[in-house]
Amino acid sequence: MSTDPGTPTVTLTLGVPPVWSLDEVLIGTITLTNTGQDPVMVSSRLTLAEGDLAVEVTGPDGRTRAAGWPWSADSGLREVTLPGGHALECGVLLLCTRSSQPLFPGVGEYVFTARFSIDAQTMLDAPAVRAVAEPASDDPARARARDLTDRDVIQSLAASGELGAAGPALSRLSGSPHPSTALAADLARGIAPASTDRMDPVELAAVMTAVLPPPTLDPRATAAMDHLIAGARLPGNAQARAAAMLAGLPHLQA
Amino acid sequence: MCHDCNHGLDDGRVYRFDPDGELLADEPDVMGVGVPGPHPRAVPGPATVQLPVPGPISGPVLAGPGSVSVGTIGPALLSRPCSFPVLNGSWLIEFTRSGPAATAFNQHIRGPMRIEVQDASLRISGDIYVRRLRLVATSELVNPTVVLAAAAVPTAAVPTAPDSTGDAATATLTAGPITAALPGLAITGETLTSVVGPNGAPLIPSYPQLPMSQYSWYFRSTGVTYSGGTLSFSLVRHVWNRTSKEFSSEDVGSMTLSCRRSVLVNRNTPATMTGTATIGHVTYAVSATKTSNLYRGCAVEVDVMTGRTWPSTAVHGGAVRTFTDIYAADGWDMPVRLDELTIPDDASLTVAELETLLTAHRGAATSADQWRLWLLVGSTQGGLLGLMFDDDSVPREGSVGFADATFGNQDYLEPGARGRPLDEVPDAFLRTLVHEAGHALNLFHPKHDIHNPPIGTEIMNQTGDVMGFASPTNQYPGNATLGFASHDHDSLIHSPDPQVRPGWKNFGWGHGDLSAGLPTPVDAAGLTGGDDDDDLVLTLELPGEMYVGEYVTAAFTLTNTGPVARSVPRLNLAEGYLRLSHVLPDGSFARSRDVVVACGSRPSSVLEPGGSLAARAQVFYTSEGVTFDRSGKHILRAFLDLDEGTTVRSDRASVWVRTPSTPDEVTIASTMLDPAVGRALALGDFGQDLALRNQLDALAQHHSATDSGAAAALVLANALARGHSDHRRGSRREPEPEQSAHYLELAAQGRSPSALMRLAVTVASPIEAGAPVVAQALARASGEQTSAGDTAAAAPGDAGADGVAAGSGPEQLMADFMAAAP
Repeated sequence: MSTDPGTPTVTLTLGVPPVWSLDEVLIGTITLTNTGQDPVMVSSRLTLAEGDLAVEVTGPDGRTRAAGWPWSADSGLREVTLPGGHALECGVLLLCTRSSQPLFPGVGEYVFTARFSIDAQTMLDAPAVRAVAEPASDDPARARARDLTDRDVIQSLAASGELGAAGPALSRLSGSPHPSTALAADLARGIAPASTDRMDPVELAAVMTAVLPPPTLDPRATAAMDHLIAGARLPGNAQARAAAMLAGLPHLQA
Repeated sequence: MCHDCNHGLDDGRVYRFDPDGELLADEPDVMGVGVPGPHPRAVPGPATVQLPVPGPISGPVLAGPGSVSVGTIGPALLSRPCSFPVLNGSWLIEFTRSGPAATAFNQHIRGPMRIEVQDASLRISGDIYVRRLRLVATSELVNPTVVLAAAAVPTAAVPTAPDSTGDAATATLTAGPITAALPGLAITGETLTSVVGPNGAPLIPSYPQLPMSQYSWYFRSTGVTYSGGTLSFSLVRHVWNRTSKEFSSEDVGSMTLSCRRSVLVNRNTPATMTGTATIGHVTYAVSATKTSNLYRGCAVEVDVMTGRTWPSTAVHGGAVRTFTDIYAADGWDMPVRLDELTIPDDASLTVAELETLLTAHRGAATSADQWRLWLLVGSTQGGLLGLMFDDDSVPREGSVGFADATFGNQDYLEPGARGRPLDEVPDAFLRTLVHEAGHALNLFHPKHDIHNPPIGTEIMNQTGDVMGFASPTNQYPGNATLGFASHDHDSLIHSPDPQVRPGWKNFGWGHGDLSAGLPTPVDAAGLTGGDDDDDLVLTLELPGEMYVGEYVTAAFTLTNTGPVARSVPRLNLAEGYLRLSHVLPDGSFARSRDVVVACGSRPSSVLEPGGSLAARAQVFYTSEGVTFDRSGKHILRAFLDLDEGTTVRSDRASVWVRTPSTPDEVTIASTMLDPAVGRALALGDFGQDLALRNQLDALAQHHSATDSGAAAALVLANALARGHSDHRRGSRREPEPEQSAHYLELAAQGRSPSALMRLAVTVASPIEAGAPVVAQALARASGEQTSAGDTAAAAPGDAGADGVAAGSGPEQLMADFMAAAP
């Protein structure tokens, strides 16, 4: 018996803020990086919606829940060439399970793991990351935290459109001090996002791609991309990285 | 034409079927000959309606020895046992309480019963709806074919009680607009009588579709015999709680039904059965009337966005396929009504927009209880080909196929598909639409299904996965299988109504994380299907019996029975490749892993031909918490993911868990069920929690003769052999080697070196290759062997107290432990 000495040049990482509040829509960033020199053909279905990206969350109650997209979809193979030193990135909505159940039952430390198959033979695991969910700080925040456990609200945020009786809750979430949460709520309400000026372009792209996975013809995503491309003069800068995320294309790692 | 085909005729022999509905091995396999109707491997083709042939029956129609002369035998004897094809299909079953108190209940107890006869299996399931009667009940059947024809079409009056001959009363069907529903059928009279199609089913099929509010129980066969026209089966009944809207309890029962078909009289009436049932200590008189040769029905309305195309037919593999015939091959009657063709154009559809379209464009139901589904041929949503978008409070009523999604130019695509929008590749689009409708019937992608069926080319696989099996010589969509895999086939036919009926339980109930659904026959194929990898064998050993709160371990063995070396992951429950599926006594489902989640790149070892890997693990406290926290029968199965598409599964292992029955057991359980104790046993350490240490000490001091007490002692031995720092509090626990040795000695008392080692490797956390207790136990074993001349092989009777076979000596156990650790 011997150990396989394979040395993959493509790595998977999941980025999650180390601390977040339960009244916040948690957005992670999943990154596929070619650390080698040679280009590699990889699957670009780096989204929860298509079901090839698996993110599991083990909570303080010891239970493991799988993050998921509320609806089941069919999609074909999508591949992209990942040049050496380039990365493919996408936002990940860490809000619910595949059956629209809340992902985080309470405060405490959570362990996040991610897995993605870059082709039919190669499955990549991201190093586990830990993050702590903190309690909502005041009554409005507690109301928002409750909102984020409501099925209609969860589905509305994931769908970027208002569903069921989510309207009042989405209004409350629009007023969140957390820019990502406010942006996701604004997208669901169909109003012009008020929080984007406060956001880093990559943070903005992470939210947009988490709820409007690329490739998309949704005018909100294409408008954001056009705006970012205008500012993306230098390869490797934040605007270029964000624009690549929105387009579902690789970008040169800074 | 085959009319009540004598293929598969009951020949007087006794056929017995096991709890999964499979024909027992010592029975002759005669059923495979020509059983018509739905079958997953059936030759595809539309579900055709055939006219009955009136008059004498040709061929050898009489069963049993000798022939019968009509002129010399009374009418009651002019019948024969029903053939298997007559049994096969959908029935309306009705129960009437027996005994003097029957009238006090005054209930109408009825619902659909599905009898599925395949080559060598016979499975039965049913859904029962109960209502209090005020008036005499009338038939409530909803016939999707009739529903879709015209509003004026009358519903078939289906007989509900047998006549004196045992056959059904005459069925009456008013003629008229019915011709619109049955093209080619010429009806000239005002009234048709005795209208029956092949195999005892009405010419116009129907499916009992009843109010959700009356749903009461589901039953499934657990063993069937059929002989001389008598169908007997044991069953499990799952009782529905109308408040929680979940199955809440179960009991058992049995049913015996007689099915005979008249040779001369009322030949052309639907087949009926009568008999008795005893369920939950209540006896019922039972009657059943056949309603269809398929099992379930659902009306499908299709709306199409302007400029897009519904694939009404598609040529696939040289055959013309339709949405309806694909479903019919797996037992569902899904007639399609193409309704609006001018849904306003919208280049990109969100879920919210799809929900709005569903609300605005779906036609009215013909009744509140009609099973129906809305399909949209839409534009796009990102890169998706299709979506089951409706999972709200009345879920699973709408799906969409995205006609504008465009294929690439890869060489694994058929030339005619390259660069084309989906609706210009009819068989690919048809596949996606059937797939999305499957989600509306609560089916999952195999790769996301909680039962872990294999990934393949069948309908419920994502197109991307089917493309993964394509190549330049076997291109997509030609390589796709336009049929359902056996796991989904079973679910479509036998899963309870709340699971499959659109508009009832949410998506994820049955195959997802809301519920794993009910066991066999619902998931018989999924849970008993062969391994994906024929050359690797995984075994799982668990004690057959234990009590709640008792320490319990599992043994895993992976053997390469093939001719070539294989790359396999490590056998531990922490890294995620090895896991347990756990069906609890109430039928609920859980996945079990270690409490520690170890991550990193996929570990890989090479297993030579004939070689084995073995590992042991505690399963007392897992990601579920206390794994066996309730009494009853628990069923576990181990899964090992070899790679993305290949899983090896063990056989299922049953553990009968009882309540603690002695004072010692009660004392042990009361301590062991403390979650802190459970975590200590899972981690092999108590940290700096002195109260926890005292609990473990009490177990070790007073109960070391038991595995629970010895495990507690080994946790203390392991922990006290080393220090422990709490960096957050800035505190430190110093090693206590003498105490560690003391607890090791306690655990060793009365145990062979092998038995001690077997416990030690399970107490150590699976990610700690250097856990002190393992080395200590091995050193102690070596010392004993040297002094006593012990060969370290397991002594006779050296089975662990857990009942698991003794297995290897301490050195091998140590080697296995090291090999399994990350």
